[in-house]
Amino acid sequence: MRELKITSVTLPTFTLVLSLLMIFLTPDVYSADIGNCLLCHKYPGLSRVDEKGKLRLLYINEDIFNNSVHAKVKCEGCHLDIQKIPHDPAKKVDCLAECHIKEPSSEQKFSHKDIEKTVAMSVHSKYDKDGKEKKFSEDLPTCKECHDEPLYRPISFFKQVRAGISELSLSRCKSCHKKEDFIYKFYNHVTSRMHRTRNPLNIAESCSRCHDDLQIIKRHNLSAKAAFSYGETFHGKAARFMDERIPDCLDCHVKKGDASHLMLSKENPESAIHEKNKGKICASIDCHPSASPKLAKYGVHSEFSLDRSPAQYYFTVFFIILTGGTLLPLMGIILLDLIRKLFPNAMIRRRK
Amino acid sequence: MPGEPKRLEHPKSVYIIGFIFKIITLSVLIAVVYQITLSPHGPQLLVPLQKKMEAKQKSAIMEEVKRQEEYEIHRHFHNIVSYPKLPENVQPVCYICHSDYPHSKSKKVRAMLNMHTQFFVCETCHIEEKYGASVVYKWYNPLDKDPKGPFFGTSYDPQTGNLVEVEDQFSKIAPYFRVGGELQSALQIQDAPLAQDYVKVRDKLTPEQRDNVKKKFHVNIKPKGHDCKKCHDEKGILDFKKLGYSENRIMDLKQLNIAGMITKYEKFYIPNLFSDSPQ
Repeated sequence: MRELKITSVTLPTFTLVLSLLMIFLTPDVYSADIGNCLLCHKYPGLSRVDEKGKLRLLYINEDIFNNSVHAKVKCEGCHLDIQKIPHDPAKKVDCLAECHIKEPSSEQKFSHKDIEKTVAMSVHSKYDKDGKEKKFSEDLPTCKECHDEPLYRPISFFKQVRAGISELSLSRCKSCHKKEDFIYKFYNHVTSRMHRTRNPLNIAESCSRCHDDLQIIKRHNLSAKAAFSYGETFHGKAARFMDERIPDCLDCHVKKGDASHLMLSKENPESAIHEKNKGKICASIDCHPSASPKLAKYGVHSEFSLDRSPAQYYFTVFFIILTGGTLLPLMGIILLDLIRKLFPNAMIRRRK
Repeated sequence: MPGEPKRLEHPKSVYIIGFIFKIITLSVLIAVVYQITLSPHGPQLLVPLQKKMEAKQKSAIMEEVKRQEEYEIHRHFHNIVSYPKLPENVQPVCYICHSDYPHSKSKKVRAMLNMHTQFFVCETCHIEEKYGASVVYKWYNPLDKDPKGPFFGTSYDPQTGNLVEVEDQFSKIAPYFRVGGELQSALQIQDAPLAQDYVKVRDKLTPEQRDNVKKKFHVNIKPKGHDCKKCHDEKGILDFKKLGYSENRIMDLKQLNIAGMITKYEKFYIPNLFSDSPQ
């Protein structure tokens, strides 16, 4: 046990210590807030502007947090530097730290280190294949650039697939498993993992933070505003209507069966979007199973740009001229007709 | 004129069809013009002009502030929900200079003090007593002359243990001066004549003149607010019961451990009873 230094003890504070100890000693402890951090951090006003003028939000919405995948991790599990109350400004959380939870299949302490290894092999790695730091590596994403706190999105499979928890499933779980909290978390975890953790629009918005940033596009010589151009496609438009069945960035850019963090450059023969593999994406069993590989040849990320997409550029210009050229004369005739209707005897020249 | 075609003698249905056709044509025309001039999917002929006009009104500071707010919501990682904000004109006058997060000096308690702005107005803590008047604390809502509650923070949800969510999002505890039998509000809001006048002319004032005017806003206001114990105590200045707080909430507020931790303990270490790592 670390130092427990109390210089003055009052009844209320002694009660607090006792309460904390009782929570620690309770065998069925499940709550993440063992340190009672939410005593302060549950209030939305708990925020500040720091010495550099930067806003810092410090509050946690307990209901949302309890529905997140980290709900079981106690606050100090991630905020390792916080050892006393009131605490000093907290350090940045290291997502690769080992937390107190054990990964059930290996009985090892859980960590996201393996994901770091996968990202290191991907196009988003800060280092090239020779281990040298890439140019503008500061632009490349860290965990929090792409991830907000992931929330459970349970689904029910009885009669029909729908969002939410299936009470019938839960009752079946209860016939063998006794701890309700365990059943609830397990159900949430498994069913959330069986479909998308985030909807396609959310994924596209996440990618757009970098891939629609003109400065980043220029620095890394990227070919298009990727998320914006995705938004122009049928898929992107359906995403805007919150359709969850349509493909998002990950569906095309990650090879089926690979980890979602293993996104490879299109020049890499292993990449899902390599010229040789592209056809398989659209013709996937979940998308267009009978499609020809040629379907993948259409320009998903084409923009109205003469340099990047000349065919689309001229095609669009043609249709603008066609539509305008048809409608403007028609509109002129209608306008003249309207003038005659309003002013039946109007004339430009006086009759002699 | 005899022999001239009668242009307007058509059946009514022709006019109705013509009208609908005109509306459709007009809509398509507007769409074509938009496509050519401003749409990101077209040649954007007017976009340079639009950018030029926007640049005149652009504020680098405003853009940076908005960018920072968005960044902070993303950086925070934990998902948060936004809360309704009062319209600018009914915000207390303090917010013109001190913003939503006014406390920054004491690293130990600055966020904690800012948290209190959710429950009461600045003057509740920073009020200075006025000769010949006593201070009375009441619920104040700038959008409701006589707020009835229930008010946020006054009771716990027995199911969750959290504070009960309430419909009234804006009521806060505010001080009033009792002079004789009459209650006078001790706070100023931004649509008060003095505040409105100040906002109008503050850019034209020299720093000295601005300081002079600011003093008018700080009458009966002390720079350092009350100590925690002034409220979080059995004999605190706020009559929680009269303000509608529940019994268990009153007990927690009066015996609040945080106040004790901040004022009494030098250090309070979290016991590390169940850590797997060797010490």
